Parts: sequence; structure tokens; C-alpha cells
Amino acid sequence: MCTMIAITTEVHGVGKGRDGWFPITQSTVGYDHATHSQNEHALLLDFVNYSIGTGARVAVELDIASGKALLAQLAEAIRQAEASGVSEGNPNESRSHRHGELVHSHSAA
Amino acid sequence: MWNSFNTDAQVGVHAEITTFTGGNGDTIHAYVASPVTDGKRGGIVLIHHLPGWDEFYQEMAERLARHGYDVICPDLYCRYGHGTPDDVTAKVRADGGVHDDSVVADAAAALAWLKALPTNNGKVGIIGSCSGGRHSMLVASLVPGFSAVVDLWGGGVVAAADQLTPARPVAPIDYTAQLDLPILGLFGNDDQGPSPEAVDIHEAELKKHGKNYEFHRYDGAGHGFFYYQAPLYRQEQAMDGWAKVFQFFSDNLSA
Repeated sequence: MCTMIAITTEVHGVGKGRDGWFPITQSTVGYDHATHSQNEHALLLDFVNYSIGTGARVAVELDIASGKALLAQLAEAIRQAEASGVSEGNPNESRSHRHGELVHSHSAA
Repeated sequence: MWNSFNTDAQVGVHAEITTFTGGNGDTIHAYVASPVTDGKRGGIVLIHHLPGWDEFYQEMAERLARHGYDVICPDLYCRYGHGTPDDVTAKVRADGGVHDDSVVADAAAALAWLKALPTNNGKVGIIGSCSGGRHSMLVASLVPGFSAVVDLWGGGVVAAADQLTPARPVAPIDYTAQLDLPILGLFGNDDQGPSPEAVDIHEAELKKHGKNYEFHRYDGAGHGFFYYQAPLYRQEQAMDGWAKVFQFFSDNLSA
């Protein structure tokens, strides 16, 4: 059946697609008809950048158990990253922030 | 029937991607297939499934044309851009799916395109599988002028209020009273959408309104049992189902 389940989020990162690395701007996680896996339905993970084109896409199809395992992996990796004290956010936002500080500093001088 | 042509008959199909004026006056792509023979014949609007305007549907158009019909399969996702079918479908999925109104408008335009063909005998049917089955029922309810509709395991014809979405705001079963054409439905008894219970509800509604329908339900088959590209394929049920489709269109699309 067509479940029409799809959750879309803005994300920041890069992905490796058919033409090499490209910036990722959006992720969609769905559960619907699989395109290539042997199951009728699959968790459908798409990392895309539609400003480049529909082909700017990294696609993954997983079964539900694998999705749950991935969810636990992500949660644990993020927990460890944040506990390590070296977790980082969006590098573009950081650069903007640094530029802002620099301008502010420059203005104050 | 499949594989029942005379070996000395002229048999052939011309098929290609073309553009036509779809809903809202937009120029959109369509895959069109026609027999190479002359003479009047019926037409078929082919509504692709949720996985997209893909190679299976191109081959389905060719199969229907091989059996004597002019076929047009509009690219319902054309407005989302172009790329491989699965890439375009991913974009449509992220957007919440193509809106029912858009599908109905493109199907109405496809009907008009077929009826304007010099070969058209005045009869046009509509068929689709999966979401295309649901859309076919919806279009047949809302657009006058079709002579037959085939619903191949259309999920969501029966839908509870919490299953409706902005793109699919109405369950097609709610339009049953206004269906005014012969209906063929093929379903797998192992399907979860439509489940056998949903097919029961749909059939009860058709009966209640005295509609001319023919449902066939297959044991040992689930969703998409025509899809030879997927593990869902069930050879025996698919061949029987195709025979039912050919017979139904022969009965209802002949002049």
C-alpha cells in the first residue's frame, strides 16, 4: 500500500552522490514502497539538494529493524560526541558567527 | 487475450515520450503507445503508480497498445522536474505526494487528447495500479466521458479521516454514488493496502448504489502482483488478471 509517510527536515552536511560530494540541504525519512530492496516497503532515507537537481541525492532503503539500530547508533554517537566536548555545529553558521565577531571587533577598534 | 494473435496478422506498436497540454494548460510529458494498424479503436488513459512514471508503466502502455488501444500515460510528476524515476519520486514524496486535483486535471486532459485522435472510436477507459488504481477510481468519479475503469489494487480508495492528507483530501469511495461506468477491480488477498476488509467495504458500497462492477480477489498474491520487476510478482495470478483486463476492455471499449 502507499503509506504516504514522509518526514522532511532541513539539514546541513555533505553527501557523496553519483557525481561526487555535494552539500546536503534536506533529509526525508519515509516508509513507503521500496524502489530497490526486496521488501514491499522500506524506510526510505533521502539526503538531497534540490537546488542542484533531483539527482543530487543520496538514497538508502532500510528495513525497520535496521532503522531502529541506526537510530540507536545515531543517539549513542551524538551522546558520545557531546560528552567529548568536541561536538561541532553547522560550520557555515560558525563561520558567520566568527565573521560577525570579527566585524564587531573591528568596529570597536 | 495474450499470445492469441494470428501469425499472419499485422502486429506492431509505435511508442514514445511526447508532450501534451495537461491540466491547468501546462505542457507535460506523456508516454504514448499506439497500434501500427489503421482503423477506429478505443483509447486508454494509463495512470502510473506512486513509485513514479517508470519503465514498468512504459511497458504496460506498450502491452495495452499491442492489444489494440491508443494509450496515453501522463507524467503526473512532470512539474517536479526531471531525473531518474526514483529520484523524481523521492522529491514528490518529500513534498507530500502529488495532489489529487492535479491528477484529475491531467487525466481529464489525457481523455480529451485521446478523444481528439482520428483513430478514436468514442470510447476511452482508464486504468492504474497502486496509487494509480485509487486515482483511476477518483478520476472516473469526477470526470465524465470515460467508458470503463480498472482499479488494480488501489490503496486508499477506502480511507478513515485520519488517513486523509492535504494532497489526498477525499477518499474516492465517498464519490461512489456518482460513478456511472463499468468497473473492474483486481486485488490480492495478502495485500495490506487495500486489505481484504477494505475491498469488502468498497464492494459493499458499490452494491449499495447498484453499480456495474466486477471484483476478482486472488489467493497467494499481495500488492502489485503484476510487477515482474519485484518479488511481488505472481505469475499465475498476473496472467489471469491480465486476461480479465483485456476481456473487460474488449467488452467496454469496442465501438
